[in-house]
Amino acid sequence: MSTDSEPTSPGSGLFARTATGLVRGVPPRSSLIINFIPGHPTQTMVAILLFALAVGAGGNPFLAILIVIPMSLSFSYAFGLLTQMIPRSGGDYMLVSRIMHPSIGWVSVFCMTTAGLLSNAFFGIAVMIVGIVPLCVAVGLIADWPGLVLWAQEASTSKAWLIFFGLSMFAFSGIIQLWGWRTLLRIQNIFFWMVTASIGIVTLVTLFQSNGHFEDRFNSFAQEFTDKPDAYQGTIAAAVKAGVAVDPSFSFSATIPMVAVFATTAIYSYWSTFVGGELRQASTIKTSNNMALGGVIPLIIVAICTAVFFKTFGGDFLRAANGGGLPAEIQTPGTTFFYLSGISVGSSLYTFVIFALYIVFWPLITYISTLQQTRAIFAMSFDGVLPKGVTRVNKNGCPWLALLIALLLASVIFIYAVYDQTGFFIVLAYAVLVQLIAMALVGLSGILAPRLRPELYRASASQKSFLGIPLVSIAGFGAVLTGIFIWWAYLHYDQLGANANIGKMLAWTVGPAVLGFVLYFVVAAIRKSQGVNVELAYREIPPE
Amino acid sequence: MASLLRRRREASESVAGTVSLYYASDVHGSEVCWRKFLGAGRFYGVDALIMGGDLTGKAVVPVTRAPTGSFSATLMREQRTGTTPEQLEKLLAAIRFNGMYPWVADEIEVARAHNDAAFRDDLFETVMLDELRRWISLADERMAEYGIDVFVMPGNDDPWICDDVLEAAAHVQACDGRIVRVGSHEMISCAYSNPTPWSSPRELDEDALYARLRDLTDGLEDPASAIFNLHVPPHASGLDTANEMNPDLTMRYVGGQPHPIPVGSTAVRQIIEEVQPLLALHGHIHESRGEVRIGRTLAINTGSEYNSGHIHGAVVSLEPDKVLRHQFVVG
Repeated sequence: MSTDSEPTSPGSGLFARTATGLVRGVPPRSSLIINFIPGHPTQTMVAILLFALAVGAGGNPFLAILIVIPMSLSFSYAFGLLTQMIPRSGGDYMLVSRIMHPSIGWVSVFCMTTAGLLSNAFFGIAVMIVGIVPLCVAVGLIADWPGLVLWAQEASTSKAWLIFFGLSMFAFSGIIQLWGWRTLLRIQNIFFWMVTASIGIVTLVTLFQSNGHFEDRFNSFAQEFTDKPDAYQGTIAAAVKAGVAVDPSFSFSATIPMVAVFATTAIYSYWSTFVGGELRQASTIKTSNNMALGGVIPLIIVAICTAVFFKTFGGDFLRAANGGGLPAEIQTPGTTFFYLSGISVGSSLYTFVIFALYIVFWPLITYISTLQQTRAIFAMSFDGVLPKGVTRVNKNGCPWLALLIALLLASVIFIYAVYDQTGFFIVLAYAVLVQLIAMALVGLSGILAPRLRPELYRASASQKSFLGIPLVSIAGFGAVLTGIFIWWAYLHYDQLGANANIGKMLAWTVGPAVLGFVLYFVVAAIRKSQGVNVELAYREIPPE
Repeated sequence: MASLLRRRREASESVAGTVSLYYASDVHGSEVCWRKFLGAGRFYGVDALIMGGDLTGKAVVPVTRAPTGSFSATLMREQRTGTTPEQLEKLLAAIRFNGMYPWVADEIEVARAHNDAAFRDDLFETVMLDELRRWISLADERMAEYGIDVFVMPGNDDPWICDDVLEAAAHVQACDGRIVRVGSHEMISCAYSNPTPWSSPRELDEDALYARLRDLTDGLEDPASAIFNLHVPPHASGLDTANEMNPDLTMRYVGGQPHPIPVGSTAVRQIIEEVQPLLALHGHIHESRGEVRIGRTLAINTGSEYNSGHIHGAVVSLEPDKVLRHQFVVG
């Protein structure tokens, strides 16, 4: 009976009566994994670390990671504390439109969605270029299957294969979402542990191998293809000859661009905000803490992996290999650490297993990325600014039409990227910058939330302060500062690739922001002519 | 103020015979949601407010007061303390904001509530009724002044003692189990749900629920233009998806994950399919907000996130024979 009350656990501090309960689908453990995936150490080791070493010769990667940690925490707590206050799906759109103004929410969602679609297109390319191709090349070289190597090399330049594998991956990441949270979370967690196992196995194996062991194995492996007895030292010498600084002295100024590069994958651990309405215990501090852990733990793992790989493979050798010093006969595109570990173990089966475990990262990150677009479309539809039809869900609760729209848009950009890879990778740098506009707007919402929404703030678990200043405002301020810093870095350092064409850069970054702002008023006018005042969807009712 | 008056004027200029209403449900003791529900009348410029049930809260938060005047409580798993009356007021407001009832008591009374089930039940009844009386009194006073009709029914979670408070209201109309008029439309209301794992006070098996609904619809003069204000949504409509529970009130996991299933009422679905009213309004399943057409009937579940201080609702304009427009809103 409803009046049959019972004292609950001591930690909850309340007496609860038996009554119908609200049940949400995503448990804290799964939300931690969702937050962990965008900055997964495997991705950072595969796609980011070597780029960071290249753009910051003389920079210290460990110092850079240390500097990135407070930046990551700023975004985690800005998003997390606001999500605790407004535990609804929709992410930045929901937070910014409710705290500031719907038109600013539109600016934010256009920027975030542009970045998401560009990222999805990148993932479509990456599954082939830094996934299937290096797997085949590495396994083919180690197992001495030249046919596999040849196919991979041809496939890497074939637009048809790129499109086939990219679109297949989009389809796969869409289909697993159609099955609903129950199945999806199971697949998500399995894939997550597969990817984590790949980096874990490689790191552990490398930890227990000496530099001398690796040098011997590498030389004997390379000799089969080059007929040279000391390819290890030859790689270093070739890089030095090409002007690569393989053992540069420490430079703090060279560490700064490294910070900007690490920050591009390490500051997105707020991803569960997009499913805020589906998280269990979303109103508690667990939401923020899970975001913080999802950002900091991968950075610590990256630091450990970097130290282990530098120890066994040799820092000068890694810089040389990354700088193009590897003999042409044994080059692979990307995934250097996995490849070198395969050589060091000398087993094609081991190489296949670690690559196979790692490759599922790409469909995993694609599904995670689409959460932003689908939930934003869904939230905007409920607000009456997009047609209600897009809120259709299947029997498993998946917003299938919103998902289809997101994947179709991503496919169009992906195909453009396949046909214009040089231009696209510069555009990808713009994706970081345009996303930062949305993230900085969330930071600004964090600064203003205690002032603009005092009742909501006081009644939430986000009411925490440091030296009398609300924590959400401090985190918001840090988020805005970080956004400004990364923008400055991308404009300042030519090697980051974003400042080559300022006009194009502004079109891809400020363009979506302006478009979102203008379109809000256009849509509002259209809906008003249909008798629907969309502003009502955002406005807080004055309580009697 | 000017925009409020403008909206009101726009509403009054609407087509003759049109009635506009604001529907919300499942405020579960959140005072701020109740006050927003009342505020919605003028804010959206509607003729009638309809509350679809589950008015009362689920939890009492004891605020332990020390002889020195200092106090402490645990809210959202966070310890809150203070010493001044202003701090206490803020804490009480925060508890109410989250849909819980604050109870200020000394350490001995709080310990007794922990150990004595009968005392705890009395405590619940007292705080619940006090709060509900305040709410209804506020609605009677303000809505009569503004000339906005207010229809309120309890939900499956509300204890029977709430009915006396609603029936005693002056302006607020208790509508459960009867036919009332919203503009030119007849409206039937039903607070009962089909059985839930929680065995809440107002539950009927599907046959009994159908019989009760059939009794109500048989009294309608014009069923095709009627509004059904039924707390529980129709079965397998997309408005009734919730995670499956075990009989011991733990969540049922399949393959290690929660198992979403339709939990709405087959009786409600059957009566909507047979009678085909203009509009069906539902709550009950907080996480299943949405709309669906069942034949010609527009069925809506506005959902609820009462503990965020936001009230989920829908503004609906009805002409005599059709739903002119409807919009989900979060206030």
